[in-house]
Amino acid sequence: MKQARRQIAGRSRNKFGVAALASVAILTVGAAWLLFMQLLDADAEMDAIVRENAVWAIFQADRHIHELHHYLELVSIAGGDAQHDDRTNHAAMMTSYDILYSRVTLLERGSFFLDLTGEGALQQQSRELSAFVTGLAPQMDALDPADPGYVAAVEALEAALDPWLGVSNDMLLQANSATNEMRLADRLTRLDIQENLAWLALVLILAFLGIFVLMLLQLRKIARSNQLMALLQERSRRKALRAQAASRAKSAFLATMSHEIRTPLNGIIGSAELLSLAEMKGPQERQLSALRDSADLLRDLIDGILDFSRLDAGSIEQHKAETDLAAMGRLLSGAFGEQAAAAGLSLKIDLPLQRVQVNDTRLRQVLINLIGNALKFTHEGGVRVTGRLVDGYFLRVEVEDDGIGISAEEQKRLFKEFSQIDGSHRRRYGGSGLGLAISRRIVEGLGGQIGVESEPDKGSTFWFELPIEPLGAARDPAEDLPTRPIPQPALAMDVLVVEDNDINYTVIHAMLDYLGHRVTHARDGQEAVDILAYLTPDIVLMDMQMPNMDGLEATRVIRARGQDVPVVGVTANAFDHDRRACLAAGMNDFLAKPVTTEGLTRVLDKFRPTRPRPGTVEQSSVAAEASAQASVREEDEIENEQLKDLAEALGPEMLEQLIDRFALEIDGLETSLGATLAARDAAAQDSVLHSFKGAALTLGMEGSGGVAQRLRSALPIGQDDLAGLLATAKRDVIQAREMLASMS
Amino acid sequence: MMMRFIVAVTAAALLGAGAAQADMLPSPTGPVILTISGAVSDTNADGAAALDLAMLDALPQHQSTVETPWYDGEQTFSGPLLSDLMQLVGAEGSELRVIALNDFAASLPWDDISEFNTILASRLNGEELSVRDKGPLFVIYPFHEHPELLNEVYFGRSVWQVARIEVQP
Repeated sequence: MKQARRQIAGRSRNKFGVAALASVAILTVGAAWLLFMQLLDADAEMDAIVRENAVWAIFQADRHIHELHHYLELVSIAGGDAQHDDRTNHAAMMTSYDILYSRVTLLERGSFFLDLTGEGALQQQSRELSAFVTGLAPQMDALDPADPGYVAAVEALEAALDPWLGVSNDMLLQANSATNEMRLADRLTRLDIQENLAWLALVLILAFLGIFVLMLLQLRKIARSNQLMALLQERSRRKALRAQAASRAKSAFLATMSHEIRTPLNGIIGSAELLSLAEMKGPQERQLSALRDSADLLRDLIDGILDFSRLDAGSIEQHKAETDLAAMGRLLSGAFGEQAAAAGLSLKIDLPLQRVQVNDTRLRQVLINLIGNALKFTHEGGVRVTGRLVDGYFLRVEVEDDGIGISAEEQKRLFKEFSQIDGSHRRRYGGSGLGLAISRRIVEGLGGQIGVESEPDKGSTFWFELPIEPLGAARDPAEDLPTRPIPQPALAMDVLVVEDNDINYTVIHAMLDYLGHRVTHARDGQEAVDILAYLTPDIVLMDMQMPNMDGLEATRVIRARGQDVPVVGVTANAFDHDRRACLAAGMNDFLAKPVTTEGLTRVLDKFRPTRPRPGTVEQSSVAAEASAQASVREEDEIENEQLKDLAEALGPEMLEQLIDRFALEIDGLETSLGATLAARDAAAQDSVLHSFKGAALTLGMEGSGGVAQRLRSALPIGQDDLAGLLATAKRDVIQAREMLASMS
Repeated sequence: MMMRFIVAVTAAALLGAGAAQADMLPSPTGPVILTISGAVSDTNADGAAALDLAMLDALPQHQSTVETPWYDGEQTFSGPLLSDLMQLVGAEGSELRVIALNDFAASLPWDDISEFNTILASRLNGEELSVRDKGPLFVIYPFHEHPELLNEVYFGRSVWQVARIEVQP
């Protein structure tokens, strides 16, 4: 601060200095101009008068006096001896006089640099000489060589002229010295002016030097303050970086803690579930129930915090998917129906019969939050959910309950983090209090709004609006395919569990045991890789974080060896990128920790082998290829088995629909592959064939599947190949329909 | 008187001979006041042109009213243009050497007579110039038309009491 003030003071001092010096410079220039003008004026004044050279004029006069004197002398010496000479001399003498006359009249004039009109001795003599010479005129004119007194008159004139020779000589000397003095004076004046000009120039140079120095100082100061500013910027940038780092550290801490908490929680929940499978009685059952509830609540809380921390990073996926709103409503009805019925509440969910583009996961999450909240805070009456499209591009959903209501004061804090309306409610209703904050972040993150209208004891209406892209009316629910029933009882499977944590392994082992499956254990990725060298289980449940070799690396090694055994990642990390990492490493699926019997059942069913395993014979892709090449007879038998399984699991109607769809896909195949033939687009063909192979194998049509797989190794395919594939597929469809007819 | 007669006869004889020899320039009838010699093609004397006042007056007359260092205030000089005079005698050269009665001389570059209306004045305010008035002929530059000529160099070239002109080739 003090420094800044000093800088400001210094700057103003500097400015004053520059201004003062600039004034000096301007004054100096002005003075120089004046002097220069003076010089010009003096010159102009001199030029204004037309001048002649006085010394030259006096010299001429002097010369002609001498000449006249010479002629007078000549005439007087010659006397009257020679008439002819006299006449010549006389004419010359007269001309000489005339010239002298014209000369002396000039001397009286002032048009000389040396003034001859003043009062000095020279001027006096000039006037006298002039008067004398002009005064001679009558006598000169009167001269006549023929006159007897001619010579005497000439002698008299000579005598009269004699003293003036000295005078004119004296005048010449005076004029010369006066001119010299004048020249000197002139030179001195000029020197004086030049000296003054030199001084002015010096002052000017000094003033400009001063200005230059002050400017330089100013520039340096500016540079220094710029430096200071850059320094401050750098400092605040570092602070911002530190703050960002702190924020990242917080997120990392949350993720790590959630993982660390989830691992023991996994053990708690799993153990509780195992205990609940055993017969429990009286208080123990209640205690176990309390334990499970508390553990579930804790897990929800951790999930909420995780979710919230993810949203904190500001990363709401803008991904949109085609969503059937009515179907989502039915799903929610199913999910909450039991809970509502148990609480004696009515639940009515009425979302529009509309397909839209929306982030379905997030929409569902918000709806679950709001409906869950509404059910939680309602004791009698019910919850009504209504949705409608506003302006065609917004989905507005209102969740109305007959609950305890919220005062205006409380509404303000409602959507803030960790702000369950008050402590007593928290105790009474439980929950993290993050649900609404998360919902708000999601809705606003997706470009929508969320709000509430409520009065205490009169229920609440929570509403939100989300931007959507309408796609048209939904299919009638009656047309929906019936959901696939869970096949019961389960077929026993060989399961390799890769898990380093003893509790977790015990839990999973017990669950698998209960479900009737066979379990092999590996303590880390390396052990799993070793075991898989000689053992081929139906499925591998792979933990992620393990010593020696983690789950991802182990999966990569297994896949690199060409083994296609299903690998399911068991992960406590709920982040999307963890799941993507699983799939990228070659895993087929993932199972969230803590592991439940439901989750296990789902995953195991998904990867249940399509036919009984032939003893301990190794199953490999090579073997599958070989079996695909086997005789039609064998294929038929195998197909029978697969279709029978499917018929049992799905029911004959469903299977028929699936076969119809497959028939449609054959037509599609003809179109899509036909389009790639000319271009020999191997990549496009591979993609289509892969998809088709999957569909064929799912329906047990290994003939078509085998052909498709074989073609994939000989890309690009030709017209003949396509014809062969289509023929095989059509035959498979006919056989499947015949078989289905024989079964029913 | 006798002397003057002899001179006149001799001059007439000489001029007559010159006229018979070469050109159309007539002989002067009055006293010769100007002799032009040097690179002159039209002559009436021995390689020279001798002119009297009447011959000068026969040329187109120009007036210059100018201020000079030798007179008070503006004075009106009149006489023929030097360029006309040079044409009359068929003179052509690089400069004129103008010589006064007292042998004062100055050299006038040819440009001084071709670029400026420089006259050889024979009269001041209508009066013939006597020798005492710096006559009979006076080179007068047009100072009124060209003030830049008002300096010592042109004052020096303003020869008065002009008697002869030598045309330098």
